[in-house]
Amino acid sequence: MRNILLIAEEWLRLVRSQKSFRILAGLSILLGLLLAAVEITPEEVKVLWSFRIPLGGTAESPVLANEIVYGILSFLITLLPLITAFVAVFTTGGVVPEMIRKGRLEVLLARPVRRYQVVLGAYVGGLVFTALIAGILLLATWVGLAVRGRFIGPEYFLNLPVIVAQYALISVITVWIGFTLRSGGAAIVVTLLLWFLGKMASGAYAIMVASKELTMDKELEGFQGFLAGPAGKVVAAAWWILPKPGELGVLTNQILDACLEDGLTRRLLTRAKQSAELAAATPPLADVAFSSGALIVFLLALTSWSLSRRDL
Amino acid sequence: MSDSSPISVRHLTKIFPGQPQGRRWPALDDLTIDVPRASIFGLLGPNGAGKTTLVKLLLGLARPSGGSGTLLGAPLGAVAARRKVGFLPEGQSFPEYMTARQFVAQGAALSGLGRREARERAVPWIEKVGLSGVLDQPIRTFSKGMKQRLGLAAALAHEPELLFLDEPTDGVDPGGRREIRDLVVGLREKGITVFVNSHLLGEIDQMCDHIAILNLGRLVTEGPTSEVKTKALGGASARDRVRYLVSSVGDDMRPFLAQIPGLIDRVDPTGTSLEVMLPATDNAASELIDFLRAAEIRLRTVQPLEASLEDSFIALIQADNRQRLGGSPQ
Repeated sequence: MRNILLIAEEWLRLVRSQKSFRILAGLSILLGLLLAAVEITPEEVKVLWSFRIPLGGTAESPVLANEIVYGILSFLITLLPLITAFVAVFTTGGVVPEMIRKGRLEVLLARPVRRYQVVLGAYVGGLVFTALIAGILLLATWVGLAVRGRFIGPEYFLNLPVIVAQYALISVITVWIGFTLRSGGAAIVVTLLLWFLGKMASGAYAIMVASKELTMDKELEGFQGFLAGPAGKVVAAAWWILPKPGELGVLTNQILDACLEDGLTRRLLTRAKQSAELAAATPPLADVAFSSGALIVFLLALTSWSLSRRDL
Repeated sequence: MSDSSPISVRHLTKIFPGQPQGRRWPALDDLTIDVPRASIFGLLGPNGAGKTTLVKLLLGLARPSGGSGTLLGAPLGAVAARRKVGFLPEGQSFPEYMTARQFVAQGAALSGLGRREARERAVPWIEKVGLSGVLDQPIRTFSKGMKQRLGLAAALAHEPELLFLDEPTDGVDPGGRREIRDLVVGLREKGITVFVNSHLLGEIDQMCDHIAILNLGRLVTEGPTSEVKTKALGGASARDRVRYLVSSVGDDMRPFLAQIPGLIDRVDPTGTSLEVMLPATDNAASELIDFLRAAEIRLRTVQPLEASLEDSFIALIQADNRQRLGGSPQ
């Protein structure tokens, strides 16, 4: 464990030395400052202290203001985790090949370090990096909102483990390809490709699951029939095998509900209810957790095994 | 296997699956060798001889195709033995974003020292290799020679029992080379065994008390440095002979060549300087001097000569190539 942490620490130093880390941290703080600069009331949007955009609402009818607030919070809670994970893949994709380039891995493995520890160290380093950058982002945006009196619940920070979990699911591919092909570009491309395929499989699988419980629209009935045949088995297999960080959106919806518990408008309540219905129609979280965990364990074991068989 | 040897291998063989086409020999072929404890052991060989392969097998970075061996008493590849091993590879790639202190401390920590102890031990070793002024500077600002010194500090900070050095003075200036040589010799005095892989034969000659020569994956010869050098001069009988350089103060010695005791090895065109092989007896040199004086040769010097390692190395490799490849050029 100690060696894994020492390698993760080196990995973290390497990532932090890259410009992209500073750019990400800077953008997070900038986003926080933007949020702090804007105050939204039912009547107007006030930028800083003087610039005002009228919304025409009242305390009794704050529809437009609530739509804007809802849009901001939805972006922060549902889209930002995926964007962070996406950016983290780009930032960390080249790190594994850099870490194991010729003349570096040999020195590491000439010490009492086992090869699987190098793989796990790189993986854990990526998770810590993502947690760090996501922590800065969440804190900056939370403080930014609070400056103008829009406090959101501390549940907002539950997004941190969700972001890390999403990254954990896709970065295992980055690590696998990085160690196998020793190419940062290939690691990023294959990760994004499998992520995209996983997203497609998730969409098709959600329709399969939903069609068993919900009445489908007319235009989806044909597709439903198609999925009932052998194609359905392929989709189900793909869903189980491929990474599906988007499925963790169930958790972000729940976090959204918890954050907005106080002062919800009717509109927001409706949205939250829709989210809950959507969550009920998606595959069970236990299945997502099991298949994702199995994918992570399998790919880390495969990477460690292939590295242990390799002559340096 | 010899229990007292920090490195002991028997019939060690390595065949790479993707070996270059047309290559008929294994990367390492049936190598048996024991490295004496607290020695500086030099490994020599032309390119492709198998030197790097041997180091990788010893460090567990590659797996042998056959044979066996021990490193500090543990089987090759055992992780525990590597706690007491230091390694400075050729062309080491450094984490440019780290400082010298961080790099050396991290290496020592990975070799099993506690974090605090690793940090404490890093500083004196960085100072010993002459980098005290750049302790907290990022490695990206270092020259090649400075990086080489830093690599050496990192290989030593956990105070290993066995140190592998691959081209240790590569890129280091002449003054730095001497410092590194002195440091390595000092390690032997502390009981540390040093395994050096270098192309600089002069350096090996100065530092190493034992050498082994590899060619085409096989061991050509090994033993104490002086013995290996003598071997090249003519097989086993050469151990019983000493070569002398005889020079006169302008007198031509050529008319006496047939009568001079010993074997005349080399004569300069003017006949004022020649090399003679004499039996390694107490009075051989005296007899030579007596004869030359009797011939009224005014002597400038009569001095024993050691074969250079370079001469011996080339002679041994050429002989091995002739034997194995039927004299085909390399």
